Amino acid sequence: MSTTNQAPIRQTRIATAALLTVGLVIGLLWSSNQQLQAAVSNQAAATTQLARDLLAIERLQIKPHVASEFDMPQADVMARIQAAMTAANIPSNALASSVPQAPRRLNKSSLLEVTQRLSFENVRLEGLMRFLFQVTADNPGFEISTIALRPTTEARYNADIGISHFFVREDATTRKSPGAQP
Amino acid sequence: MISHRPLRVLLIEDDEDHADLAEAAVADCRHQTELERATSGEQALELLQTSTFDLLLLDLHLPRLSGRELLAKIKSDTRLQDTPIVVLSASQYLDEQWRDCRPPRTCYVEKPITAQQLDTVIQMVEHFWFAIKNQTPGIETPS
Repeated sequence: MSTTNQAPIRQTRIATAALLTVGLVIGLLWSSNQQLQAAVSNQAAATTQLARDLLAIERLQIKPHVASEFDMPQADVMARIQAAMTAANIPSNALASSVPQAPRRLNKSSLLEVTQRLSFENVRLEGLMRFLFQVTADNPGFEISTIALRPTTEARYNADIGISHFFVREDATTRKSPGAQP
Repeated sequence: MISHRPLRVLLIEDDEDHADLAEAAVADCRHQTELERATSGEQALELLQTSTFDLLLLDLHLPRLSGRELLAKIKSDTRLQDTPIVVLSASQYLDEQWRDCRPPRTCYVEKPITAQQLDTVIQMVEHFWFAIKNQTPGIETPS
């Protein structure tokens, strides 16, 4: 009697246990899925933020030209160059020539670039580098446009350097460079 | 401004020995450099269309498309014209033709050049030209 009565009870217990197990597994899966979704969501947010930061950093790394509202007088340009040479311990007789070039309009913009071409003779690379750092650090509107180096001895060079400054002029009129050679 | 990611350099040189020397010189001085080689101007143009480089090291004496022609093409391309170029040349740069058509952000170096000197030149190029873009200018009000 007792055996036949216990069979349905066992079956009920087994069914209950099975149901509980399935429920537990589903619960675990749901919970795990929620955690996974949360992790993916967090990761996506972090990636988006990283992309934004990278873009911001790249924008900060871009250096626009700094232009003045008026062209700089030649004497002023030369005074700034001489000051940087003194700071870099380059003797004044190392500057063989300094020739302003005709202004050049940048990409049909309102910006005109004026390049001063400097020829140095027998300068050391370290001294030249100090001069270039100095002249651009002291004058935010100055940019080094070209560098040409020709070795004379093992440690010295003849160097042709183009230093540019920029000013804004809406029309296409070009300035006649004072002292410019034809 | 000094970049902290590897410097991506395209070396355009048809002479394998010279290319090896230049590559060794760059590698000796700079630990973080990704250097690709092109042996002709045409190959360089193809690479420049598909990849972005921080710096070009260009030999002037190339077969077919010459270094000068390649330089002119690069500097007339609005996408590439801001890329700094170091031109390595065995011949004199000071002829009048060069003087008159010297494009901006170009550094001419006459060979021979030591690894240390090349590194100094690359440092100059990095500092002065890597961040410059032809953008709307900031206006400096005269004091």
